[in-house]
Amino acid sequence: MSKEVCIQTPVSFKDISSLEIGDIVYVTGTVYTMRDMGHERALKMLKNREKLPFNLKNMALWHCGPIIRQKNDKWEVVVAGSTSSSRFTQLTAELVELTGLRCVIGKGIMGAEMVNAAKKYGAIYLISTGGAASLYANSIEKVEEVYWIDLGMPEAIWVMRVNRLGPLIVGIDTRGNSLTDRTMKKVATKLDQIARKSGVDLSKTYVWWPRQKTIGSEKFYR
Amino acid sequence: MIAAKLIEEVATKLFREAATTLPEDVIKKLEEARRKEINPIARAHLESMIKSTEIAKMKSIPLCQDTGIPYFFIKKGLGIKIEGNLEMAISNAVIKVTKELPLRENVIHPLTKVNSGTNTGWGIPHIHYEVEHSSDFIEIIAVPRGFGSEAKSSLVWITTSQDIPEAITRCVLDQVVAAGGDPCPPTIIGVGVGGFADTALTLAKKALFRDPIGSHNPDPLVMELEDRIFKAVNSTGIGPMGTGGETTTLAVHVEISGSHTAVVPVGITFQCWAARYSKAIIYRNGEVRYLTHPKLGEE
Repeated sequence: MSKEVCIQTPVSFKDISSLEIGDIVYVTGTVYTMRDMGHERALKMLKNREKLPFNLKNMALWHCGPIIRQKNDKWEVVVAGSTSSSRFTQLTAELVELTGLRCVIGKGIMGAEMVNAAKKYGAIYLISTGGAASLYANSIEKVEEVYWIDLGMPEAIWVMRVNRLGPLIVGIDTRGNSLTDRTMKKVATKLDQIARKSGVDLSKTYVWWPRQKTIGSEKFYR
Repeated sequence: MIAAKLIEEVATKLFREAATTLPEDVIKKLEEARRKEINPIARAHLESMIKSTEIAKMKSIPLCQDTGIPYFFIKKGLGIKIEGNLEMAISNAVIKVTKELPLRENVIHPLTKVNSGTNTGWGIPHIHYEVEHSSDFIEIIAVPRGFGSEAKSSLVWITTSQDIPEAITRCVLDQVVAAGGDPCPPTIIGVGVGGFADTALTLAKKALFRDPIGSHNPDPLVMELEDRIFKAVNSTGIGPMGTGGETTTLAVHVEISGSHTAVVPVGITFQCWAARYSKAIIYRNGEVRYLTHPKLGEE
């Protein structure tokens, strides 16, 4: 049975160690947004042994490029929601290792590297509902700070104060369980039956081009 | 003669409304899905989706933070003349909505990654033109196209020595499984069959914005294929956002075109559940009809 909890940043291992995949979470406190170019710059700096201008230890990182407007010299969030986290599986996993980041918010599948990092360093991945940016905007109280604005509005690091951001679903827990892996494994067990019912052969290559392993080819599910 | 100024005005309304307000038929499909789901996580996702559409509409703010990059379908009656520059009119509309709503600044140079800040530049907004011989109007469809779904598009080539509907069903099923929760299911699936590499994918994209959602292609063979794919995809259990559930797709729309005797290109693309688009017709006499968002006509 899934539980519903609220966690507050900074997050300790103890705060999240009892969470399990499928639990519903609301986040309160400070969250940092980061997308492709932010990951690129942060990892480059960390690997050059430079210090980041912000501290992610025990913090929450949001795969999000918000819409922001400037009002009376202040930044104001118009809406904010998650981008596809599968782009950051490896990049965010490295950040977890290098910064002590504890909580990642995003959407969709995060692969094996992130599952391993969550288990090894005690972090979690929370799955939000993609597209529900106007809903999440309601729980954003203010923009506290912005870094790397030269990367453009979506790619900059926006530091936001949030109050009960959610509902978010635990997608990867600190024991290394993954909700989407579990779902896709269940899907895999049904494929033979679905194929039979819809009159397709999973052991056949239907596609002439592209020639590499692709959709519609023999070994796709193997 | 239709004035470019009028086109700019209509395109501005369409693009703004598309970003903030889902067409009613799409919302109905989401509500239907919510009634069907028993999985509590799937229900939570659908609740958030529907709540978000209500908030965005009420506050007139973007529904999703990825307001995409602008794509316009324009169908022009052969006899229609435009006074002024159509491309400029569409571009001005995008610049205006980007600044005023505002939208996220999403358009970058593909090599330097420099952001234009206006959602225009280097050929964007993209305009897909069609000429219709018999019609007496211009039809405009405005699409703020998000890339969670666009970037899960594929093109494959199927030889004609095999059963084509079977091959298409298999390819779409594989693509849905490979994409999982990334294109923000429940999605609309667009499939374009035949033609050329580019036209198969364009047909697929056009299919996404078939009005109303879930209506069938009039060709019974194509209709049958739409049903076959729909059933296969919705029995996977991938569910909303890929975390499990009954509803993986809201609708499957297939369009066809004549094809080479050797090999058939199949373009496959998704539209996320936040199926944002808006459509209007401008008649020769300047009369405007808003089709997906009729309230725009009252402004």
